[in-house]
Amino acid sequence: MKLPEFRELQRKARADWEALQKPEKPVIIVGMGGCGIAKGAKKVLAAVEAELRRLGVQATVRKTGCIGIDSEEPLVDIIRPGRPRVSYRRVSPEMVPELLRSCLVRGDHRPDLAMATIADEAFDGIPSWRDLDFFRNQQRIVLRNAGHTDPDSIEDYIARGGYQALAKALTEMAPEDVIEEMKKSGLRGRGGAGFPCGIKWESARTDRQNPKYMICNAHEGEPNVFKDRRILEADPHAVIEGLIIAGYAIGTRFGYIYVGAEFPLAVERTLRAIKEARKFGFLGERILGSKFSYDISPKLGGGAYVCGESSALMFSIEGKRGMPRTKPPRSVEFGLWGKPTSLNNVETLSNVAQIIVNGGDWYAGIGTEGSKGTKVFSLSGMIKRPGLIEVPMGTTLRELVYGAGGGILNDREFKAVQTGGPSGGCLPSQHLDLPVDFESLDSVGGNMGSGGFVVFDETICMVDVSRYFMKFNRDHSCGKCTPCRLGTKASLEILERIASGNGREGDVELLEHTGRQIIDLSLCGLGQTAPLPVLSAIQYFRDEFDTHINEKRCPAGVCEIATEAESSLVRQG
Amino acid sequence: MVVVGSPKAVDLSKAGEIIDRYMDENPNEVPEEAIIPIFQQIQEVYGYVPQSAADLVADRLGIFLTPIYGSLSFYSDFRFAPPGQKIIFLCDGAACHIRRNQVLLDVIKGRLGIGPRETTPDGKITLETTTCLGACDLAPLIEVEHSFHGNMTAEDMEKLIDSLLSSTDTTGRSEG
Repeated sequence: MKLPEFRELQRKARADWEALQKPEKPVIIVGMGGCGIAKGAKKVLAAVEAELRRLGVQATVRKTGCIGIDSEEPLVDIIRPGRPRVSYRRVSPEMVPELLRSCLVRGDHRPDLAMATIADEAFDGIPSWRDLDFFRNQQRIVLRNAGHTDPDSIEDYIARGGYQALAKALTEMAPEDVIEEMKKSGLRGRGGAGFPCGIKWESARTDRQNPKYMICNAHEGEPNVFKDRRILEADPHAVIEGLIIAGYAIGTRFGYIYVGAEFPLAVERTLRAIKEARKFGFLGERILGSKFSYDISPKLGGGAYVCGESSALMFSIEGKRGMPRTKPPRSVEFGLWGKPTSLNNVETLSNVAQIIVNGGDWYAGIGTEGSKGTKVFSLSGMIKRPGLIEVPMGTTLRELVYGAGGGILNDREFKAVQTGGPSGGCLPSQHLDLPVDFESLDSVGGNMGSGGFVVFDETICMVDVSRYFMKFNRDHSCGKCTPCRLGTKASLEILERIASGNGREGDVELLEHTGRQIIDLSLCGLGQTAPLPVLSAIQYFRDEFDTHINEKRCPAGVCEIATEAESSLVRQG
Repeated sequence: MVVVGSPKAVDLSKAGEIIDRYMDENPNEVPEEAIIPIFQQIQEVYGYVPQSAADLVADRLGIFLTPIYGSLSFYSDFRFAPPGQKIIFLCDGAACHIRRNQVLLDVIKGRLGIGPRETTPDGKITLETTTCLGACDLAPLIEVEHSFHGNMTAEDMEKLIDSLLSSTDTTGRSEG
């Protein structure tokens, strides 16, 4: 496909999309992201199709990815001719006949079952989605298509401006211009380390060795981080487009995407998107009539968390054990097959097309001084509205927990928020007004990690949580560095002893000492961050450790000693 | 690594087809690059990696068994014995942990006598834990045969096990 054909395709896709928004017959859209499917969206979709047949109503049935508000899934959106799109919440297969009959036959749009309109305006008592607490402070760049387009439709993506950035980059910009724009944007890597994307690309481009490789890291193996898989499930083409532009910028024809095999839906939609992109000529020889040729090989991970680390991931693509190596040289100089390689996270690449279209200055205008743009967070734990949100960098933790998140379940007390999963720390209530960006989180012992925030309430025991994360890190240590392999094991033993009521005087100091050694003496990010959850728990909740050790008591009643104490009470009683 | 051979000889014709197809589709790859994807496909078909399949792959790719065992033993997705007829995937994410998925593990241990990565002696049920199933508002969460069971209590777990046991047949271990 050459440029004029692409322009024609754009026109047609846009016209089709417009027609779909103002349809002549009803359109029904079922939320079929991972969140919706987990709650039964497939059965809801089947019920919708069956009921339409029963009613004999002509309607277009479509699917879309997660809009992010998991607590309201499964969502079913209905557009009736001349009316705005209304999203209905918590739809069960049993509700479908009544909902469809009301809306499509009786013309009653059922405000009682609705969540919001997916439009800028409210409609007859149904608020606009933008006015819901969950969405109010969101700024959706990465998630701009999530919940709107059909992830399997490349036409939908093109209609919403997709592949426009690729066309612009290939026809109007030299690779150096693309890199310059990325540097201007200030976009930092969203996989955890926060390295400036433009500088990484520049290093890869200016390295004189060839060939070079471009890899998208979609290996999200952490507990309670589901942003990358949801992005791929909702808008795979945005990632693919970013990955193609990245390949153009660094100067390679070889792209890879490394996806965790444990996310079958994300894998399926990614593979389909790659095939479609090939079919439409966005991958392959002389893309859009330019001199640039490029293709993407998908690779599936084998369930090793450490393969999120750059050198381990590259060894894994090579078919080897994914054990990180000593750096330097960094992977941008000595990466896949020993050649210069740029590795970028899914969320990072999803930003690229928008930056190219709107300019680096536009992106740099969002966020804080040191952390530009938006950040996608997966929110979970003891909150009322868990889900996936995208907010400007610098949004406060309070807004995440109490605004979008809706506050603590059962209105219990907030205790802490765990940032960055097994490589991050927990932050207590005194930090709720902290603006969330790379610098602020680091300054208080938290960690952006990959943006998975788990909220704890007063029923959570910090010793138990520390033990949980230490066990995770012990299980996932690749075993190469002794301090990590044995240090995580020793730390876990100490934590288990404390949790079981056998803690000793000095155990906390021993945990701190061991933790510092693991951090100082491990090669890769897994070891260097493995002790952070326990160290921050000690920093902020030292008294809980002391109570376990000195009084043989778990204040939250979670650890085994609590049950033993209770059972001895029962025996006495 | 413990490589457990199947008690019966395994029919490797499907494994052979997988290798042929992979090599046809990816003619320019170095042999090692094929190890993980080929065994992923083999496990998908057989339910596990039979030892004889490892021999076959080494032979066909022209590489030693050492790098093959090296990789297979490193990646936790690979299984070296046939799984049970049904696999319970128990989410062990942090949200599931703090919402007490331990209670579910206790029920499974009590009823079936198995822990993570173990199969009941009659070959009916295997328990696997996963890092995160990605639907944290349903914590604690379990997936069986592509169905999600959210907000699970001990009682729900008992019922789920009942229904799993009644729907597995009594002829014993499945051969994938």
